[in-house]
Amino acid sequence: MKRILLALFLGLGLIGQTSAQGDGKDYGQIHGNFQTNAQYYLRDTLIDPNGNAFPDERLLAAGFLNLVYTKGNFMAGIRYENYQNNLIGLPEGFKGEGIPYRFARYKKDGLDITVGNYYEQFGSGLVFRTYEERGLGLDNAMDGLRLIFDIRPGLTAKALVGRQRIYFQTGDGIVRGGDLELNLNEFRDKASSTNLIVGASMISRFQEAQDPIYNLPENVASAGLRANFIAGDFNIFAEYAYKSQDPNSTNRFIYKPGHAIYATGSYAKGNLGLILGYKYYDNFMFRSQRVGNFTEAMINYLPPLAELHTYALPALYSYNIQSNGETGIQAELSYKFDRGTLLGGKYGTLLNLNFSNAYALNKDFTFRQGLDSSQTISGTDGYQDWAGIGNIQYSQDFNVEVKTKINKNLKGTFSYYNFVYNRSALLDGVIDDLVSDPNNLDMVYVNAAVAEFLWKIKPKHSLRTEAQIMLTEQDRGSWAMLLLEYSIAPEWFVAVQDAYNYGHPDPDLRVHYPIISMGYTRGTTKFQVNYGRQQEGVFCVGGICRVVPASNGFSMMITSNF
Amino acid sequence: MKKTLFFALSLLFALSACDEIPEGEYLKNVEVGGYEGTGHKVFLEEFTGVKCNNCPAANAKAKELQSIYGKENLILLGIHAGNLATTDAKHPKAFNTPEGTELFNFFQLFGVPVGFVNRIDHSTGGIIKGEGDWAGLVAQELERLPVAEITIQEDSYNSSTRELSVSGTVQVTGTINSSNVHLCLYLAENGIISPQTMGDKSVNENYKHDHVFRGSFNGTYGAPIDLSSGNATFSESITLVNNTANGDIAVKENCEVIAFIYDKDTYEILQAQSIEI
Amino acid sequence: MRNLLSTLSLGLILSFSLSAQDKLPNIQLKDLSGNMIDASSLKNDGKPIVVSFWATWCKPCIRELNAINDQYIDWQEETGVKLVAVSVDDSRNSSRVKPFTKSQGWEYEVYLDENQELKRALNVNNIPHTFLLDGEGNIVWQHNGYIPGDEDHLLELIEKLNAGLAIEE
Repeated sequence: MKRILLALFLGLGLIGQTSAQGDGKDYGQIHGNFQTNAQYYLRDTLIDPNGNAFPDERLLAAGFLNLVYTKGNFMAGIRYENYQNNLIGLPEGFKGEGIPYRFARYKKDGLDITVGNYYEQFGSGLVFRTYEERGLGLDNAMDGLRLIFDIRPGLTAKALVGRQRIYFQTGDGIVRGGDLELNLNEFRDKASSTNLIVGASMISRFQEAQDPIYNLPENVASAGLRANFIAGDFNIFAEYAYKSQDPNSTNRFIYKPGHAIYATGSYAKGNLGLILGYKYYDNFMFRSQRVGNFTEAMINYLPPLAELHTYALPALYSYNIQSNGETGIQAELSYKFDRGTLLGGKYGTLLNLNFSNAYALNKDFTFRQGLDSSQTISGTDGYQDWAGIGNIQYSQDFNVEVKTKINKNLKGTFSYYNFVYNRSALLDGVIDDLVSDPNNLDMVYVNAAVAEFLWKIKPKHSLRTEAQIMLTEQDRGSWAMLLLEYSIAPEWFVAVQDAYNYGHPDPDLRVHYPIISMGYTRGTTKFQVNYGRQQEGVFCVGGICRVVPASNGFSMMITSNF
Repeated sequence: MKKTLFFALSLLFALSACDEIPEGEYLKNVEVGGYEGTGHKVFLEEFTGVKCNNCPAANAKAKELQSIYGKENLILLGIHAGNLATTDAKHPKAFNTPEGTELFNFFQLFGVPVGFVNRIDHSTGGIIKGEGDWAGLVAQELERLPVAEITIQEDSYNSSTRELSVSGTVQVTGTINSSNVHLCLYLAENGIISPQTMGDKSVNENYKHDHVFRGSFNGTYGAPIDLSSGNATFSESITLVNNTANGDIAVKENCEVIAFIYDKDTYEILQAQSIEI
Repeated sequence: MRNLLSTLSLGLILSFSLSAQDKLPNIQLKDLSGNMIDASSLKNDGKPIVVSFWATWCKPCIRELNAINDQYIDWQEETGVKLVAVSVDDSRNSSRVKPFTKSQGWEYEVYLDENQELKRALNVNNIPHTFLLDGEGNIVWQHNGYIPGDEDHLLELIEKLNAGLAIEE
């Protein structure tokens, strides 16, 4: 199958080439991109005394090549992937080489047909979303068939069937589903600034059941309704989704149905932006097979509704979605003070305030006596429907960011962060049905601040600095970090940084993590090398955790596209 | 045409959408202890660690399966390995073994709790099984017919050198399609009371660790065994763990010897056996 | 394996000979009012268009768009260029895009590429990634990453394009 597609693909390419210089007809285009990451690991007894995170291979490398052919309404593509072996901290299931992704797509008469692999999303993703996130080692591409019908302007239907990619294989479950979206603006005078878009979606999974203990449903479905109301500067989006009985390894084989609500409201006018969000996810992790670790075979996507932090130190306490249920809110206010005002100064100032939190649900667990006479929730409803907000806090995040231009050549960004972070749940993967006493949970209280300056020294030459500090008495203690990055546009940059874990409770681990990096960009090709010591992070999904260990060594990244 | 196609498809979805299991029928009627196997035993190797908070639940699941199928059909082994199987102030004993670490690294595990069911699916890269997979796979493996029978007996135990010697036989009873069969002898210990981190991150000082892997008689991967004549005998010995530094001393009376043969090319376990000594 | 590699490298060679006449593919984007528009239908009255892929969480992207925004009025007056900012934020952040662009004071045309379909079709690896389209909608230049000062180079290219010169890089 792979070979046929490849031959087909190559054939198309040849046709394209023979004619490109020839009769001037459009024979289509081929484009692609390429990426490779490699790391050479050095043994570092300070951060890894036992050598657990030191790979036998010493050198690990992963690479990708995408090729897409387009001609008018026809498109086809493949992706070749190569892992020799995957870098430490990324799923080891990605191993070896192959073409796990190939597709052909054709659009005609309002019908859009995709055969092979595809990514798709219904609404906000509560019911269905397949996507690719290389940095996380996540690729849930579907392998099958997708149809998109434009029934009439403003009314679109999608239907799909297939199985999901898991590393170099496909999952056990067959996935089928459909979506219908109606945009009322298209049914009347377009001049109106008020609009309503409504949608309905549904997805169902079939997987054979042969469990000796549980009567498992072989067909599991989830369905959602959504509406997006836009009136001038207001925008309100809400989606509700329901999932039928889905006992699986993530929810510990409980039989209650799932519910999910995701709603946001925003107001944007002039210099002001305001957003409010609400989430309620109850037993809503949906995979295309009953058993899966990490992000394997995830069919849907639960928006975390928490800000994604990108400065290195605050990012150490990033929020992970809790697959067994959570609820929370987010509020964000942004405002631009105009130039010439008191707070705006000469050039204007941007202010952003963000607050979000997340709590476990208030579950009243049902237990049964297991066969080995232990207590278990498996094989029961698990807990009551519509449990509401519980007393275990997962996180709270409050942050302020101020961006200003100090003079013609100097820009500054100042931010402050205050986190409450449930390390046990978010990093160690403690599941709430096992928590007997919330006081046993490791809570981390963090205050952090970052000051960033961008100084344009002379045309094309600039210096960017980041000073970061993060204070906490729990977990790994306090950190400080400094980064200097000197760039010469449009080709070069060199950066040095040092993160220092000066407040680690264990004096031996009060370690410096220095990294030096250099990058060269030419057109669409980017080359970067790093050398240094990277601090540890932890990656958890669905009750099992993967430690992304500290490492020391050289790494290299090349990306290119054409 | 498009509309017809669309409505036909949506009708299909509606019909196939979901199954509803009524309350009260979630569990099958499982008879505990009455299971009669084919004689093909299943060996479930469970990777675990004293600091792994999700491991006690996985262990309970394995024991639940063992209580359904009986010890004579389902053999369990808890291999403590990885960075959650290390000692610290709260966990004075970690039960990690060089052999366990070797297996952990060789099969490229990335976390616990996970397990192997007869080490199937190594060639397809799917040997690592999450606890949710165990029940179905154990049931599936138990239905296979035996290809061999293993017997083990205790020969001697020297209480001063702590050396245990066992011997036994392997008798081929079916067709073995491999010329690269290895025999492996592992030692396990039951009823060790030692701290374990539980699901809520608290440490249970009096956790009872069963079927803890204590080492191999003949190396991590065992030794080749020649079954061309239809049967073979073996005789091996091991020195019991005696770590006076942290008080981790194996109790001979609680020990169990597990013998299994496997195809070295696929790592698939062909037959296993265990005895309490 | 060797076959595969040779196929791939052949593919690479082919593609270089073909990449002259590219336009944006007909992939659907969502505008900030929830309406779908076709990327291939983006127009600017025969003047150049800059298409910039960004996200609310991408610091260099925001730096780039802010740097251009400082000079955008001048750019528009001098060259007639239009900047189209395509956000690849997923549903986690897509509701933030409109308030975010307002509060930044951006005057760009902003679209959402929520499941990264256009990003994938154009083979964008990482953001920020910028495309320059000539008056006929042909992609004449693209660039990955942002280094302060890149915007000056982009302006030079736009001016070159308006002067009818070919872009050879």
